[in-house]
This record gives sequence, structure tokens and C-alpha cells, in this order.
Amino acid sequence: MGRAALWFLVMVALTGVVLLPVYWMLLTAINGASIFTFPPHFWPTSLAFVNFIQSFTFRPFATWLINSATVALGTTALSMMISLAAAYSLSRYPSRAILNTGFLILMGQMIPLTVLIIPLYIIFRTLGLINTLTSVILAATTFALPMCLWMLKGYLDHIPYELDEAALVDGCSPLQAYVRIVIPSMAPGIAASAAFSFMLGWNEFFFANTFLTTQNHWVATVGLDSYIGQYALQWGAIFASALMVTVPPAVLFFFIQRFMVIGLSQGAVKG
Amino acid sequence: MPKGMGVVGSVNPQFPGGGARRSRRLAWLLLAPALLWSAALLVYPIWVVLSNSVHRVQSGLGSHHPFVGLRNYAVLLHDPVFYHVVKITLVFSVFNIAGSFGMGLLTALLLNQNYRARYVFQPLFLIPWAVPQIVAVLIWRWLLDYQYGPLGYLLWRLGLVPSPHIAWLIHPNLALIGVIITTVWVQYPIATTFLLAGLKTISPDLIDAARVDGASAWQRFRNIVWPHLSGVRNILLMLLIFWSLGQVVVIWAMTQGGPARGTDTAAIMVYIRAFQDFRIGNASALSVMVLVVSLAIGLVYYRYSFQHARKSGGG
Repeated sequence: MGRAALWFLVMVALTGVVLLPVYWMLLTAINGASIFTFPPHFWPTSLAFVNFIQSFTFRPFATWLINSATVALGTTALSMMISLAAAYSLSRYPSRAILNTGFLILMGQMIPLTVLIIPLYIIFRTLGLINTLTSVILAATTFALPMCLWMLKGYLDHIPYELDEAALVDGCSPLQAYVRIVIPSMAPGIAASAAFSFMLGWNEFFFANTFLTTQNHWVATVGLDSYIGQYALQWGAIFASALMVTVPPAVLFFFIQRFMVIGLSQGAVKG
Repeated sequence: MPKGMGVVGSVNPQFPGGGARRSRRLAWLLLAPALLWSAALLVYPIWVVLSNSVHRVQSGLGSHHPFVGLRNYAVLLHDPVFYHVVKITLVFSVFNIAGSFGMGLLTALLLNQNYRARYVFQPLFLIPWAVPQIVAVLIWRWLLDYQYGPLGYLLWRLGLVPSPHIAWLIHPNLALIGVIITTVWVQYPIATTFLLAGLKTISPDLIDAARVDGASAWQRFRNIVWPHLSGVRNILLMLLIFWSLGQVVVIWAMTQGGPARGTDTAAIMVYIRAFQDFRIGNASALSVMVLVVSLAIGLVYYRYSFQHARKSGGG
């Protein structure tokens, strides 16, 4: 057997091991047979797309999805507005004070969730925000912001300053030049950081699980968590729900994966 | 440090007409929302934690909270649970980091072997990263189920275990292994991506030359590949340490720190002390300890990554 063939076999085997969990979700979501069998079925015995309909009927899953979308869109809107403004300062006026401030904002990323959960709970309770989606949006934005800011700054740095200057010569103010000329030309960077904050909001679980107390205010991740460890439920429908919760962020993920790595490594892997 | 932010490039514009002072005002004005946001939702909360950690706070707001100095810290240091939790945190972190890094290195090296097939396999290996952590937990709880779990069945069919029914998630030590497996599964693709990016920067000529000189595969790895990965590797390790210390989503959803505190890391203990035992002062003191360790790692991480960016040419 040649080296290439051996390599290929190893890759296929490793892929199988790594993707078994994803396969298990897909299988359970469409399988008509019960999950409560032993030995387990490794292939679908019959197809049951009714699982996808049932996932909406036995719990308020549609409400949870709408809540998740609200949190994700709210997080995206807030973090994009704030970080687009700040990225302009960091890229176009990189004085020492401005950059140090940007660095401090970036350090915010290094604060563990568990440290923030107690004070944020206390603050939001004082403000009457517990059990509102606003509380989750505020918390998720706090974590989306530093990454979005530095991703956008990286993008802005690659847009030549001549573009700003041309607009200034045409009589624009610096801010007009930014909004009308520069921002449209960095669309891919904006799309990537918007997708990042959307994913962060959609996948948010820890704050949502603590702040959202009644079922109708839950987001999809909290809803899915409530199924864990319960046996007397329709698991076909639950895995169909899980699949529907996975698809939106997974699609976005493959679109922005490259940018996330660049953001995390801050240029460390540049050749 | 500020000079180290090499990614900035050299632009330092002086806008015509407005003058430097007006530009500076505009810059601060645009940065203000981000700064205020961080102050309100990061700096102020940390102040709240610090303050709670030196007060006797049993249930949050409302009542009188007497100042107790460092007593909350002293109570923690005399609490046997604290030392148990430190141990669990260390074991979880070490195996999680080793597992994620090992899987990442293995997949990255394999992917780097064949340039054309990489485009098929690379996205497949990244799929776990795209799965929301809660969904990953939901799936793994089933894979590891005592009664119906397919993983126990597969291991049994392969002759690796005496019975298909493995008490994952029931026995404290096995539960810790289950949580580590799940965390590694959601995390290793990050390691793959980092290390593969590092591997791509090694010139194939260098490897070929070593091969011509008769270096074995191990020698080529040991003397060329490994040293070349040092920059990427250090940053990755720091991120993995940081994420291990801060990991709450997988552990909480999977075991809530149980059974019998078998998966009770420091981050989980903070949550339990605060939201189940309502010992806010105690939880805050532990929080401060987690924060100090994390920020120390964070600072080293940023210093290192920015310095590295500057050395490799910046923008």
C-alpha cells in the first residue's frame, strides 16, 4: 500500500471518529425508530421528518427561536455600531493614548464569564432587566465588542488613506468620508464581524440561562439545555430542534472562520 | 506595548482644514461609546466583585453588608472544597489542553501532508467548532448515556471495555473524562487551524533538504517543524489555558459540577456558591482569584502576540 493510500485511510478513519457526534444528531433527528433501544441503531430504520414539526409543538420552540434571533440581531446591531465608530479612531488616529484605550477594551475579552456573572446579575436586577432579552443582548455585546473592534480595525488598516483624502478633497468632512466612502469599501470585513457577533448572540447560553427565568423568555440554547438529562421526552424531535439551532451559526461559521483566527492570533501566524 | 501594536501601520493623518486638535476630539468622540460600554459592563462589574469579596454578602442587594476585610478569602483557604476544586481545575485544564493541542497537532500534520485533499478534509475537521456548545453537550450526553449510549457499545464491540454500559456521568472520575472529551471535541479545531497556519509558513525546501540529508520523519519534526511552530504554539497554549480556566458552558450543561463534585472546577464553584448557596461574598472572593490568574495569562498573551506581530513585519 502506498503512502498516499495510507494517508487517505487514516484521514477517513479520523474524520469518522470526529464526526460521529454530528452524525448521531442527524441520525436521531430523522430516524423514525426510538432512540431508546439497545444495541443502538447506527442507520435510520425509517424516515420521520415529522420530528421537525413535533419539535415546535411540544415546547414553545418557535418562541425560543424568535428570542434567539432577537438576541443575535440586537447583539449584532449594537456591537457593529459601537465598534465601527471606535475602529475609525484606532485606525485613522492611532495616537498612543487612543491605542492604549483600544488595548484596554481588548483586554475585556480576557475576563472569564464566571467572573462577570455575579455583578451583571446584581446590576441587571437593580435595573429591572432580569428576565428580559435586553439583559442577554447587553451581556453578549460586551463579549462581541472587543473582537469586532479589532477585526474592523485590521480591515480599515488595509484600506488606503488616499480613499479618505479623495473624499475630503471633494468637500466631505472626515466623518462623511468614513460613512459614505470608506465603510462601503470594507463590506467583507463588516460582514465578517457582523456574522461573528450574530453567532455569539445566537449561541449565548450562560448569561441567558441565568437571567431568563420564565419559559416564554428563554432563548433556544436555554430551551435545549432544559431537555438534557430528561428521558421521558421525544428525543427525535429534540435532536431535530438541535439541528435547527445549529444550522444558522454553522453556516456563518464557515464564512468567517478565517477572520476569527486572524483576530485571535493578532497577526502572530503571518509568514 | 503601544509601539508593539505593529498591525497599525504607519498612517497618522492630519486632516486638512480641521486641524490636529479637532481630529483628536473626533477620535475620542468615536471611541467614547466603546470605552463607556467597557467601563459600564466590564470595569464597574469588576469593582462590584472586588467590593463584594471584602464584604459579608449573603444574598446580593437590599440588606446591610458589613465590611469583613479579607475574611472571605480566609474562609476559602480553610475550606477543603476549595482545594478539591483547585485539583479538579488543574486536572481538567491539563487534560483539556493536552487533548486539544494533541488532536490539533495530529490533524494539522495530517492535513499538511496532502495539499489537494486538504480542501476536502479541512472543513470536515472544523465542523465541531461550528456546533454550538449546548448542542455539543446535548449530543455527547446521549453518546455517553449509560443505558443507550452508542459509544459504550462501540468500545465494547471493539473489545476495549468489558461491558457496553459504562457509567460515564455517573461516576465522578468518569464524568470528568466525559466532560474533558466533550470540551476537547469542541475546542481542538481551533488548535488545528492555528497549527496548520504555522505549518504553512515552513518552507517545503527546508524539509526536502533535511530529507536528502537523511533525516528521519521524527528528526524532521523535532528539529525543523517543532521549533518553527514556537510562536503559534505559545499563543495557542495561552488561549487554551485561559479557556480551560473559564470553561463553564460545557461543564454546567453536562454535569453542573457533579456527580459528587467530580467536575467542580473553580469557575463552576463560583457559580454554585453564588446562585445556589447565595454566598455572594465567598463566590466573589473565588471570582477574584480566577480573574487574577486569567488576567495574568491574558497580559502575557497580548504582550506576546503583539510583539510577535511586530517582529514578523506588522501590517
